[in-house]
Amino acid sequence: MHPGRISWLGGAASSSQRWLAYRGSLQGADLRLHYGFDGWQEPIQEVRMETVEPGLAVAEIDHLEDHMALDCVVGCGDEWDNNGGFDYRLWIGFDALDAHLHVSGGGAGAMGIRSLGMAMASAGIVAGISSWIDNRALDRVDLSVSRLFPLVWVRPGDTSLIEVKKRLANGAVGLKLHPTVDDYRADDPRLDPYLEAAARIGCPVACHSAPGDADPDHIRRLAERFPEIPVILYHTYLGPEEGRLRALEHALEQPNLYLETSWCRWQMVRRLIDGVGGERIMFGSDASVDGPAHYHRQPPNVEGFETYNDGLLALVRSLDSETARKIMGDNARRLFHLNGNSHG
Amino acid sequence: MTCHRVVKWFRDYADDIEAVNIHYALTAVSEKPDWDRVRATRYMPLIGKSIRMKELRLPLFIPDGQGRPSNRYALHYYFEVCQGGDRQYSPLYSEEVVTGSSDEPGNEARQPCR
Repeated sequence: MHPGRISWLGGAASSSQRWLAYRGSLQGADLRLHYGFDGWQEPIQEVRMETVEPGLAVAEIDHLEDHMALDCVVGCGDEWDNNGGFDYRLWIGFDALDAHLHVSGGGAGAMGIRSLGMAMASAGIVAGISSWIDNRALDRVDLSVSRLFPLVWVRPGDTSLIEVKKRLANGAVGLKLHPTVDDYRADDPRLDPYLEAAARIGCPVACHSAPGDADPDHIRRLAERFPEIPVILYHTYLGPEEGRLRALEHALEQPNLYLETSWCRWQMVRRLIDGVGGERIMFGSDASVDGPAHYHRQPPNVEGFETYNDGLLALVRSLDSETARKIMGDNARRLFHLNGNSHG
Repeated sequence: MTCHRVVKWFRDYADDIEAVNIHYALTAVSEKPDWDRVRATRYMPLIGKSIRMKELRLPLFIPDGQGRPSNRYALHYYFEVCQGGDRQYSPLYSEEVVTGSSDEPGNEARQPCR
């Protein structure tokens, strides 16, 4: 069964009743939506789907007001479309955007575009910011199908400035730095020409943060040199809590630093939000380095304790609706200038 | 000289290779690495058609089995090949490194250098 696509069909996110659309290969008079709310909490329900045209069926869902997310699969007779075993999720109050994704190309493996699409559907992610260590690999896939916005991977001394400018002019929404695997310090002066190019068109820079060359201390120095550029600390330090809190301190003191939350447990994300406010934190996951099960892999992949899908429910539950919308997509849309974009 | 340079090469064996990383670790001679603790990962850029190269900058000294600085140690490494959306791994290779340095090491000589 080739996974379909499930989405809300119009209607305000604040409505208590919305139409859900299924575009997929299952068809027939017995087509039905099997669903639950907020991580398949009881009671599990079913509703008949109405076929609008071949390949498109809809169902009206009520009583959304008390819930955060709808988890579902589609059935017809004995057949099921369960997104390859990973189920589908739709967030109710916002359109979730993942600010940290990777896709390596069109292959069928864990980091190929199909795996990423299944992973995103399983977590209710409707769009994302993606990068790959070799920019040319992204040229071979249609990113707009999965509503992905590419970053330009910059390797100082290797990536040509002409290529960076060309990619930024042709749809890339920012720069990506990975000092650890590319073997330079995050405040390396060779980065300056690239950041000057970013500054001219007002796009942000996302930088892997971790012990060593990608330490937040180095990234802060880079941010200080370019105060007009938003600099995003991917992972908010991929390491012990000490580094995460140091990254938070830097963000408090340096207003163009932003924190992305991949591999952070939800309580840590909450701590970052409480520390620096809801405007400068954005959800990211590093999907789909763990394949199509990235957001709910067992055993849990977020510090070995929680899945993204479970952690996000807890996080969103703990936030007011406006802050949740910001963290789960609006901050990234603002920073990467995606508002009004056709697939943002 | 504050580091010892070792160059590693990789030839892409297919057209759909999307990236190659080298993972490496250093230990005293005859010891095995604890990859979770000491792994370093570096991307191997293409420097020609299908040819990748990375110069590893290694410390002049690391502690030997007794904790004394030694200019003779083991380099363990393998390649991670991203192909068709999947990751594949080469066999693990190990080789002895002799940096040739006889100077008394300062702290900076024990660290990977820039």
